[in-house]
Amino acid sequence: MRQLTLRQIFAVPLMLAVLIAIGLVTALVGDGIWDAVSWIGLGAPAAVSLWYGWGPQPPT
Amino acid sequence: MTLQETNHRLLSARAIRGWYVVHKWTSLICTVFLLLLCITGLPLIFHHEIEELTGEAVEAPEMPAGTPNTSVDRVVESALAKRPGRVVRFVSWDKDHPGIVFVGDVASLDAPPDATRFQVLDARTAEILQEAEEPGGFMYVMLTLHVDLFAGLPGKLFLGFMGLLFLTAVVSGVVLYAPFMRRLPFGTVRRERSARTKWLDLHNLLGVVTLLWVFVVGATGVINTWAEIVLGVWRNDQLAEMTSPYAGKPPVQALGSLDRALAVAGEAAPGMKPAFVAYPGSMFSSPQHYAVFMHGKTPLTARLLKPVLVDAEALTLTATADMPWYVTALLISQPLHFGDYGGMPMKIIWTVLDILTIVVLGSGLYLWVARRKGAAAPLTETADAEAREQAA
Repeated sequence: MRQLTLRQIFAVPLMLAVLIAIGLVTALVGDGIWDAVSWIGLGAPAAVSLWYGWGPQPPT
Repeated sequence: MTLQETNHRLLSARAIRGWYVVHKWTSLICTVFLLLLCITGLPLIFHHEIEELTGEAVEAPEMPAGTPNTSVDRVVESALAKRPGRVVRFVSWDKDHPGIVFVGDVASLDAPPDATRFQVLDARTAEILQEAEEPGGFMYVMLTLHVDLFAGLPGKLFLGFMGLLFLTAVVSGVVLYAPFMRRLPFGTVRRERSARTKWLDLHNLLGVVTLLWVFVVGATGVINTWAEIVLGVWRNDQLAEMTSPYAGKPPVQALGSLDRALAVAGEAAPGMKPAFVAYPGSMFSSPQHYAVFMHGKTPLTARLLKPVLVDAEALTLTATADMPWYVTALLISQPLHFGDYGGMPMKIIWTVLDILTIVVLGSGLYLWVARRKGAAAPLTETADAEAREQAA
């Protein structure tokens, strides 16, 4: 397989970091809808971890 | 310079080895303590729910909506009548439980901070709902292990230092992520290979995915270990300045009405409610003042405190000011560490991320042990070989 660039390597982790940042901040701002946005932002890395770590095996 | 070229420069074999040494040693030193923090942190996420289950949480009895609160002076009087000879240090409220008041007292004003004991009283009737108790029980043990290992301020600072090592391990881990993932698409877990390869992949995956959460919870935890120092600085800085006209004067002789003081504070900080009052002579006030700490009503502003100093005898406003940036930073870092500001779903997500962090810590330890056993080529050699290959 050809080498990945730094951008390719960090694309998904960076996206997840942005979601976490949004999740951490929104719940501080208000309740209700703000909390829901926060659950999505913080839930994303948890879901991605469980999916790739223990989810169905990708075809190799 | 293209990203490819940057790649070459950043990740020379020597640099990789250096970052690996940093990652290995910072991790090795802090991992045991971080595991302890992650495990004791799990029940702490749900401390409120656990206390409700075990009956430790105090609820105010149901009363018709709109039942007015009695005077705070009467509440304090009722608390002191129960414990004659004690001195009040704090009166505080819980915004989620408007029907109750906490009254903290000590044997004498120079008692250490952890000697304060709280009674819980009904805000409407001044009846005692829960008597002052000596600390103890499962949650107390979890909390104390988590905060200071039963070693007071030195214990806090030690855990804070372990936290700084952990943050260094996180940063070095991210740097090492790149060379390991140069030929693997995101999310690859080579389950068909050796246990070591599989756990290396999981360690990298879970580590990088939860990265920012782990970093924020770690960094805010470190900041919390400095709370006593930060508040000490505030006392010598802003509080001393606000009460400077009273410097050298004798302490208050006869305490005036706390209700009146609260009214004065309410006028000085419109739209805010009192979070707690530090009595004259306590560590967050002067010998002559009620220090009323006001807070706002949104999740964020409820965390931010605004001190209003009221002369405890004349019941006049002495000064009010916004907290300096370093106290605000401490106050904001608390919810970000606790995960208690987004309802039950947030607590559950906090739990999942905490457990994933335990897996990252555990797999890191396993990888180090497995490598020492020499079961296969050292992990760095894999990355080194790749780096050499790339340089060639």
